[in-house]
Amino acid sequence: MKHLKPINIKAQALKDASGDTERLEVVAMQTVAGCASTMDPGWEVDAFGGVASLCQPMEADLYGCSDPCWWPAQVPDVMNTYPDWDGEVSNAGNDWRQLNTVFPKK
Amino acid sequence: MLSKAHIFLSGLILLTLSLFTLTARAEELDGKALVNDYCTACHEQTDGGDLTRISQVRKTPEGWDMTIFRMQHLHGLDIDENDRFAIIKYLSDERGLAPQEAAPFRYVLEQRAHFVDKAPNDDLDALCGRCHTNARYGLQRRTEDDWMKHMHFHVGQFPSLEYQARSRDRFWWQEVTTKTYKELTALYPFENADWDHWKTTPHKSPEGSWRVSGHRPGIGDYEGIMTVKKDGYYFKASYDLHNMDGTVLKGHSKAVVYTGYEWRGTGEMSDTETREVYAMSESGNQMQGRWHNAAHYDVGGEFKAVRIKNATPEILVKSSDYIRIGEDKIITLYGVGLSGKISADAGLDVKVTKQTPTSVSLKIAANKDMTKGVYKITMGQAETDVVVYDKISTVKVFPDWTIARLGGGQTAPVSAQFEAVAYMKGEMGDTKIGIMPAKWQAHPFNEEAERLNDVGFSGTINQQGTFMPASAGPNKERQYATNNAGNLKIVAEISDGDHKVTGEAQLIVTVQRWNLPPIR
Repeated sequence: MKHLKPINIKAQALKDASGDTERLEVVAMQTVAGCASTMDPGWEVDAFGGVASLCQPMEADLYGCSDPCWWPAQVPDVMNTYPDWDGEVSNAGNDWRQLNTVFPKK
Repeated sequence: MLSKAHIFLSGLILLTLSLFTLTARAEELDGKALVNDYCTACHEQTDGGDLTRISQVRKTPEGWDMTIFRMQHLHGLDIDENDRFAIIKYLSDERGLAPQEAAPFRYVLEQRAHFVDKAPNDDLDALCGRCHTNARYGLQRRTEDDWMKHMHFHVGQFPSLEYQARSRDRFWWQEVTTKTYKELTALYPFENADWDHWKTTPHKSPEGSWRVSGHRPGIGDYEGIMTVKKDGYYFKASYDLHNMDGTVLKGHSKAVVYTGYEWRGTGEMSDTETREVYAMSESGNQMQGRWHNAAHYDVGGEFKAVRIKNATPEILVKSSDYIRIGEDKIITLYGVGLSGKISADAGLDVKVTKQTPTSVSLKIAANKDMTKGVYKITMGQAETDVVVYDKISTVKVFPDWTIARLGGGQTAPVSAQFEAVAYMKGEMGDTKIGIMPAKWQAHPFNEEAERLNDVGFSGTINQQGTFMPASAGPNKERQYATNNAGNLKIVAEISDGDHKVTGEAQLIVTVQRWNLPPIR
């Protein structure tokens, strides 16, 4: 932060939190909040062998996983294979119970 | 990392290999004619009678089931259920896997909740194992040309694999189209001696009486009789089984034998709907595998059956594996052909109290001055071991690392089952005594888990060592409304007199998955 100057509230909070006495806030800011090409949390287990740094609640970004086929083994990819999987469930956070599994069952 | 423990979800399983929906008409159908009827619209027939793609591949029944499903789901195949079954049966028989080819990967076919999945090397682990179990490709046989087409299929169907983790750090397309397809051809070739042999070997019928033994994790061992009768195209099995505490397990099933040895049954065991995945030996005298709850693949039992007729004398299971020095104990041996004189290693006092050809009850005394160790007991040609121990030195929890999954909505929870195994100190290191009852507790695995109260949110463990995960979905009571995931230390405490010994395992309680094919 030596050569950067905060220009908004969030950046100022980040600068303030970097002091030794504000360690917990720094941890919170490091928490992975969504899948990104540079982060790669696992689906089941995070990079540290636990679950605290997983992308959770996963429902918050579930369609970010199904749309670009990020997790085709765990989440149906709606890009090619299951285009209608989430068709009637616009809000995964509220309506995740309606999302069905994708292999036929009898 | 070449090995990793995979836990894959149960859910509302399994599907097309269930036999409940089929009518008697299925057995009259000609699979070869149906393949020609349904498949030749897209799959070109060569002068030699082969069909493109289909004739260059061999798979398990589940593999063919998934292929037909893909044809229905992605390519508009409209097919009657009976026709579908007949095609899977025909393709599994004509283009299946030999027993030796399927043997290394049966853990996936058997729908096990816990297994260790090893890739042949790091490259295949990264290229295939990042989405699939390594059994997924290990249970396929393709020509070199078809393995190459398999690479093209993946980039067409799942184009975003280009930017997935473990793709970005390598020239993966160049790799799979110049090297990997050849490697897979060498590892899993379409033509090999095992299949040539199996295809020309007369296959045995499972009809007859079988001596059964098995183990249900968290519950214990069981034994009994299975009777198999032919019923047209199918086989009907009836089970008369007992747990080691004497309680009855009764059941029945309807099964099809694919590829001459792959038993797939649909049935009931003590009023629970079940699925059976067994493999019959080439001699036709043994069957081995697993049965499980139809709706919860994580709950089930190991299964071994020995044909009773002309069986080699064998002890299959016993009511206890151990005795403590200073104790008297009745141990019952269950098996086949149990006749002849009983004898035991010097120092172990053994008396027969009851004997039939399938069970022998022994009164065993472990005198105070005995030397601890493993003692052999012999009855005729059959033999087994009993461990005489003085003090438990170590407890190991099995599995020592595993996953449970949250359940809710349309996806069933996946439980985790632990067992506590006691060991004593021996001259050559720890000697296994056996599975023992334990007091079970869940603790936070680390400081982060303690801070987030994972123990309070992620589920509960009962005194049979069964961990039942909590509900899926965002939880507003947790920080960031995160899921009820958790990182737990599972502790088993065994009481050995006044002495208590503990063992530990790690349990990851994680989120559900929605993609549930029979081979993951």
